[in-house]
Amino acid sequence: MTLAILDGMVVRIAGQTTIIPLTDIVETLKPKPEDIHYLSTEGQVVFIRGAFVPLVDVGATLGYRAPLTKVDNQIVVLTQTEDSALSALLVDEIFDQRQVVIKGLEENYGSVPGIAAATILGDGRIALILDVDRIVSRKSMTADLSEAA
Amino acid sequence: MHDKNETPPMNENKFISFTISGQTFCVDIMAVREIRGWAKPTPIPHSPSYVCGVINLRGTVLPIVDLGARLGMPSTDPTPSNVTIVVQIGDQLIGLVVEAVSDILSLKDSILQPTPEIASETSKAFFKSLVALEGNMIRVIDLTTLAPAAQMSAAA
Repeated sequence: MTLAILDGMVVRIAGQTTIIPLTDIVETLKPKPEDIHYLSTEGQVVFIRGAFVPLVDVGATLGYRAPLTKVDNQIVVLTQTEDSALSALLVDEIFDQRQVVIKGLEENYGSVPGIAAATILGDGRIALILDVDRIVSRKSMTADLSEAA
Repeated sequence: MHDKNETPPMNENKFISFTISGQTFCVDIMAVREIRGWAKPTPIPHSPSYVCGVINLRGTVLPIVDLGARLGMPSTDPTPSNVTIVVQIGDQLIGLVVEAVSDILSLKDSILQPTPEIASETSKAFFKSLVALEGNMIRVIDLTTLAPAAQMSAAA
């Protein structure tokens, strides 16, 4: 039997313990409130070393909670994948960095947009592993959801 | 009704009965893998409202379905007093949250009545047959209608 192992960062998103694959992470930071700018009413960007990076409210994208009206004192995980540009994911807290065993969701449930797989934490609970590509490409997320709706 | 030539007259099946919001249901005991206490599930994004989430069942990711909500009744409060019945549907394992497991019933095929035509086709689809037992009506659930694949298409 082979086990698939993934290096991940354990974070908290809208109260849920979630794993972000380490290969997708560029850096983590805490932006100053003045570095966060709004594009019209919805889109937000964060100013990082001379570049504007789109801010992704992961908690809202996954439907855990309503979108945050004010981004304040949040931690940002900067991600970049092969298929997507630099994005800033909003998380509540960063716990740890560790290797996790990948458990499929398809076997007993089905595929979930924005979630790559699941894993089991030390306390026995299940944590979901983010599919960063899908989360940051808002277009494909909305397409998935209208398909599912 | 059942064809008497095909099945022996004394054909008995065992069922596990349980209650949700005062109604009694049962499922084929052969599909039941285990009955376990409540564990707090991890919610799944964009799942139908009756999917509570997933729990860890000895290393397997087990989806938990609120059976009451699935059947269109008020959802069962997620409290430690509830029970999860782990059932196998095809190749998939899912956990059904119910209020309480009551009994194991031996039911002859001959006393299973087909579900009568009622207004709601959707709720009729969930029940294979009905049984009158000691003045109670027991609903026999057709587990295949609860399979996650069916859930996903129902959500679509």
